[in-house]
Amino acid sequence: MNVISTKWIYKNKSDEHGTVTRNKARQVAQGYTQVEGLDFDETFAHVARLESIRLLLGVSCILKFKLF
Amino acid sequence: MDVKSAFLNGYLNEEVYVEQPKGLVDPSFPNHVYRLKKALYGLKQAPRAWYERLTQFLVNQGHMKGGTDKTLFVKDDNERLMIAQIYVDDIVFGGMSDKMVQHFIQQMQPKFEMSLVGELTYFLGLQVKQMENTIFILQSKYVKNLVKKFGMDNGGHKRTPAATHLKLTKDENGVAVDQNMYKSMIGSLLYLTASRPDITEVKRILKYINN
Repeated sequence: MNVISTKWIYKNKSDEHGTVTRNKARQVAQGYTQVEGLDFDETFAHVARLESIRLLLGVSCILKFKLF
Repeated sequence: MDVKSAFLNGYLNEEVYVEQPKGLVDPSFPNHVYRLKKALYGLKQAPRAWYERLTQFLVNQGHMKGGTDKTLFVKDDNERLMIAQIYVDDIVFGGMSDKMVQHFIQQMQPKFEMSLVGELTYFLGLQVKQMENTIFILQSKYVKNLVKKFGMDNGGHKRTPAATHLKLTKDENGVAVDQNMYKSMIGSLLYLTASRPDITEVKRILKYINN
């Protein structure tokens, strides 16, 4: 059994004047210690191409509907 | 719209264990570990788990997954189309009837925490302006950032930055340029061809640099 270690990531978000407005914290897994076949099998995920998105904008215009 | 902390929504198919988060270790069981049911950021399968979760949800809602573009989902309700395009945690959608669109939002909202539910104005660095029967795409914000990033914001304007019929040859005595910065500049410019196909000339320059 492989136990994945985790880590806290802290980030300060600031506004356009550089004043810190939010302190964000998140917990992330250190996935580089994962072993294929044991901790994960499939990792591929599709992402859209920019060309498809441009096409969608065109289609929405022809069919006259708004995009959200 | 935008799904908040999208990857945390994906269900895991594998047995994955993580140590207890620092600062939140259970004092009675300091040596125990957690078995994850859902993904965490950083896990190898996190993007896929999210894609699968969302795909399954959309298919259950009656959407058809695109045959070529697997991130495009179309729902056909008596010739009335509703389209949803997903880009990781960003979803662009629209439909020929308001009812379908409203229904889509109502189905999504209780399942996933979302932000920016409103008319599409910005997507992947592309500013979008939707009018009655016209749509504009522009990247002026992106360009302004670029100019600043590469320190050209206080430079003057040039009508034609280079002679048009000049034959480019190797400068034998020239000092080598920072290749990474150069490639970064070209890549950034290439992204602009999304809204300005006329600057595809950049690709020719890239070829020259690679040689």
